[in-house]
Amino acid sequence: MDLEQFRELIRIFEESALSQVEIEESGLRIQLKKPEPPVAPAPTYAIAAPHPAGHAAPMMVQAFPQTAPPPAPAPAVPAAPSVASVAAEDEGLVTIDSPLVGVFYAAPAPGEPPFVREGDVAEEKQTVCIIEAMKVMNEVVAKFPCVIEKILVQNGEPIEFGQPLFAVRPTEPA
Amino acid sequence: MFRRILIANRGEIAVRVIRACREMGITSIAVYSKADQDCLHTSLADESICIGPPTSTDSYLHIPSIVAAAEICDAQAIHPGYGFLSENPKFASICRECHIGFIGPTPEAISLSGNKSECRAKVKSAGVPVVPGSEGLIRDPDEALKIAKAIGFPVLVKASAGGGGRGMRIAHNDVALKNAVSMASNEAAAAFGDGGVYLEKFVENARHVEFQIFGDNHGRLIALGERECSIQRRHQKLIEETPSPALNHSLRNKMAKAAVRAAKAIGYTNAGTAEFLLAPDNQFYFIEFNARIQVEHPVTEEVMGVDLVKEQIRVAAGDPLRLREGDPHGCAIEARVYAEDPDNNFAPNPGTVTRCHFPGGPGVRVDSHLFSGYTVPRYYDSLLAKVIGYGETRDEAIGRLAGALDEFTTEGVKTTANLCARIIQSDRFRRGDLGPDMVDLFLPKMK
Repeated sequence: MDLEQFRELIRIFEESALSQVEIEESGLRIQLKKPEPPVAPAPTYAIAAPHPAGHAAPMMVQAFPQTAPPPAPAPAVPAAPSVASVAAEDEGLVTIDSPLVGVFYAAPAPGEPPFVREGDVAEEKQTVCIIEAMKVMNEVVAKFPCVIEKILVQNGEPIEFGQPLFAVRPTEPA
Repeated sequence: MFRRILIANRGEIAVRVIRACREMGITSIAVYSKADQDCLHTSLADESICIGPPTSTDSYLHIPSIVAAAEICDAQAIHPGYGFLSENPKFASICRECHIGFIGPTPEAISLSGNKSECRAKVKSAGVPVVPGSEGLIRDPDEALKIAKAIGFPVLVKASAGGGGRGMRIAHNDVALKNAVSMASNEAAAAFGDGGVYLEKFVENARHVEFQIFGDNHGRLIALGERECSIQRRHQKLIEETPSPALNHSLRNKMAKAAVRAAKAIGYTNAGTAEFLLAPDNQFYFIEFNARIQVEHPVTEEVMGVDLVKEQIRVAAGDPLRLREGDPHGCAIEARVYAEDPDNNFAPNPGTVTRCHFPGGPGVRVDSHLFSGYTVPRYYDSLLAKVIGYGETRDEAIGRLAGALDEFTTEGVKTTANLCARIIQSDRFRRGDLGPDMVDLFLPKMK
């Protein structure tokens, strides 16, 4: 491989949605890696001590959806193959990921309507769900206006940190 | 007995606890940060859950995330390992409030052990010798000077909340003392959020000898022999062994009794360690209590024929202590392999271990989370492996450990393995003439 081919390779790699490429050719091994997407600033949620009576004031949580496209290299999250397929089908989709570990609740209380349904439009800062951790209800809000295309988890499901919760399509601000 | 245990740690100690769980038929649950997705503890555990981003304050040190993980995984108990939340009394008491078993001492005992000046006073009143020094915290440099003159220079300024060598300064005279007090205080305030310092006489040429303690919830508390940890770099241990070449039978018994008295004064249960300084005249002084399983616990396990981690789990579940006091059989030496460059002032050396090979054979034990292709993250402690050599005699243990360290291979990162091998094969080590100054003799001379 000559320098020109190498430059070309870098150019193609940079434009691709791939995060890593390894090539081995007659004793030469090239590994190209994109820097990891910047770690989202520490979510600004505060956890209060468990409230004696059991209800806790909801906390505001900023969810940071993965940076929008062009080509959305939705970081492969092994726990949610559905997202990868969603993203593959439709490049305009991004995910809202859980900012903490806990239990996913779609509605403010049992029996009440959910915060959002598939197809709904969520405004910026609108609450889309609750993640309960240590008896504290942490509200997750949309970072920007978007259409909720798909809810990726079930009500009451245990959620890991960083697990995609919603596949959404950003809308232009009015 | 617990059926499900969450391990709130990473690296070799998480692997160690997972292995104990497996043996006991307990379901192990690993927690991991985004940087540890491919770690051995994550894959080895029966279940695993991501608790946060790479920075430990947002993952392994983040109490709400750990407790939430334990709750959604239905864990009945948490093993904290060492470091991270293991000596955090708030964490232990939150576990208690949430009805999750904490595999360790009570929050009260952790709190007392963590407050070094208060702990020292408690232990002293139980009749255990402590290093001469200030009674409690010092209020200002003038008070420090008065005490230093009374006990004699050199003195050690230590942070009450300190540990791992941080918040500690030696002062040989008046001027140095003034600086040492403010520097130790500032360092401790920055590192631990508590700038309280106290003063101790600096015992010159002292050896560092600690005793393993174990107590159950039924009032039984025993000592399980000592570990000598005099070989240190930057106040952190590098090579540990048991029995200590410096102790004879009667001194060992005397110190063991003092260690038990100290632990009782603190109200200690589960596994812990009483640390002592041993002066050249065989006078010993209690310095502090470690309320956790120690990194170097395997040497005790080898010579006492016990499994301390399994016993921790049993005792936390309410079982009476099965261990018995006894004499050590043989000798065990542990070398810590860190991803650090000894030729470059022990600078951390993160990177990918492209190939690794572990030694084997009689009397060789390796506790590690390494595998070929493992990338050492830059976020956490750089301990890669503990290599332990056991033998009927000290010479046999040295020979086995030297061979094991020679065989131990990690390509891609620089480690302390070779340095440890050179130290244990030196004449001075073979003579058992150990001290904290020893590591420097094996390093390239500083310009």
